[in-house]
Amino acid sequence: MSIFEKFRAVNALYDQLTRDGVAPVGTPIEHVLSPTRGIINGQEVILAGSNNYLGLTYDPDCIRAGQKSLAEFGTGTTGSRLANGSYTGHAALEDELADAFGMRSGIVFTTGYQANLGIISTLVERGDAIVMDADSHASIYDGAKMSGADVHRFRHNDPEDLAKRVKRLKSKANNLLIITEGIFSMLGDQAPIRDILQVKRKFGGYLMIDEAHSFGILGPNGLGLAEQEGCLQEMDFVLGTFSKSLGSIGGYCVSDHTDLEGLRYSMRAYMFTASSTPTSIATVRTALEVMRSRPGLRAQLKKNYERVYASLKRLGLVLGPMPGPVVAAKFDDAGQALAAWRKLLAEGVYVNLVVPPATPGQYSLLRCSLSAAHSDEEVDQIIAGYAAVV
Amino acid sequence: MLRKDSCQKRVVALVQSYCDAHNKRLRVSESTDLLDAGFTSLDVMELIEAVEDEFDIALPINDLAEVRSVEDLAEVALKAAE
Repeated sequence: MSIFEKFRAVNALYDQLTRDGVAPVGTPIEHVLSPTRGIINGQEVILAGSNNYLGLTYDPDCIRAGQKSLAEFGTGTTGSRLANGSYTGHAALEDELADAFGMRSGIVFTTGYQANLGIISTLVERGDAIVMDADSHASIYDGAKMSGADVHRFRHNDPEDLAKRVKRLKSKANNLLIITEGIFSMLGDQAPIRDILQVKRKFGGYLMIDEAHSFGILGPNGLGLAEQEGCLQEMDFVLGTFSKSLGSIGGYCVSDHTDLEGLRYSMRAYMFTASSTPTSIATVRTALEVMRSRPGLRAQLKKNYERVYASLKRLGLVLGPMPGPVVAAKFDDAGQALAAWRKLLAEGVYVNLVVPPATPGQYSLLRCSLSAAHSDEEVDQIIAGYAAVV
Repeated sequence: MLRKDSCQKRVVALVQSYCDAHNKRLRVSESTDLLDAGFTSLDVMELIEAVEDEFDIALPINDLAEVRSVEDLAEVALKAAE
C-alpha cells in the first residue's frame, strides 16, 4: 500500500469541491486591495472571510512601524530566541501584553497554534487531566494529545456537563486543567465563562481561556470575553493570537502565575522554532496600541455584525446561537452549501465554506467574518449577496 | 460489579441508538467494526462520552486508539468501571 493511500479520501473530497470552479478551500486570492476588498478569479470581491476583525492590516501606523523595523532589524531572526538571542521588541511586547492584561507574566509565540500547542502540551503531563469544550480549536486538541494527560471533553458550552465530568474524575488526576474559548471560531458563540469559573471554584484545578476570536473585540479594553464578564483576574491562563484582530501573526499566553516564565525552557513549540520576524512584532505592538486607543473600532465591528446577523436571520438562514464577529449559516447538505458559496462569490462576496469534519456537527457552514473596516455599503452588499442565494 | 455480558449488551444498545439518531443504517452487534462501518473519530469520541454517561465512569478520549469495534468499547468501559 502506498504511503499516500490514507489521503485518498480527503483528496477525493477536495477534488469534488474544486471540480466546478474556484477552490472554496485554500481559495486563490490574486490580489488584496484593502482590508475588505480583493481580487479572486479576476473579479473584485468583498473579503468577508478573513478574520480581519478590526481591519488593521493596512493601518498606516502599523505599516510604518513594520517598515521601520524591517529596515532596522532585517527580514527575520533566523532562529529561536533561546538559541539565537532574544530581540528587544519581542521582550517589550511580552511586557506590554502582561501589563495590558494586568498579569505578571507573558510569553509570545510565533503563531497562535504554537501558543496552544506549547503551553498545553507542557503544562500538564501523564497523571494529569484536561477537560475541554468539545468544540475547541484543533490546536487545543493537538496540545492536549501531545501532553500525555488524560483528555476529556465536555458538551459545548455546557457547564453542568463540565461539572459532571470533573466530578467523575474525583481525585484521580494530579492536576486538572479546564479549557474553553472566548468566542468559538465556527459558530461565533461565547462561552458561559462565569459558570465555567464556578465549576473550577467548586472542584479546583486551573482554568485556561483561548481568546483568539474575542481578543480585540469583547471587553471594555478589548481584552476578550473574560474581561467583558469581569472575571479576567480569575483566569489562570489567557491565550490568544495576533493574526486576527491585530492583523499580523503570532500568539501569546499571559498569566498571573509567575512560574509561567519557567515554561520557556521546556516548551518544544517555543524552543525549537524560529521566533517571530521583527516586522511582525513591530506591527503587533502598534496594533495593540491602536486597539487600546480606538475603542470606536470595536463599536463599529459590533454594529456591522449585529446588522448582518439580524438580516441573515430575517432571510430565514439557520445561524449560530448569538451575534458575533463570525456569522455562520448552517446547511444540512455540503452540496447545497458549496452551491451557495459559489453563488455568493459570483455576487462579489467572499466567505468561508466549512464542511465536516471541520465543523462541530454533521452540517456545513458558510462562515462570514465581519470587520470594523467594512463600510455600510459593503455590509449592504454582503446582505444582498446572501439574499440572492437563499 | 459490572458483568462483561451485561456491559456488552448496554454498549450495543447505546451504539444502536447513536446510529439511529445519526441516520446510520446499521444493525449493531458486539463484533461491529466501527471504522469499517464508517464511524469517524468524532463519532467514536461521542460514543465514548455516551458510554461515560451510561456507566457513570470517566473515560479519556486517549482510549480512542484502542477502540475499533463495539466489543473494544465495552472492554474499555468495563476496565474503567473496575
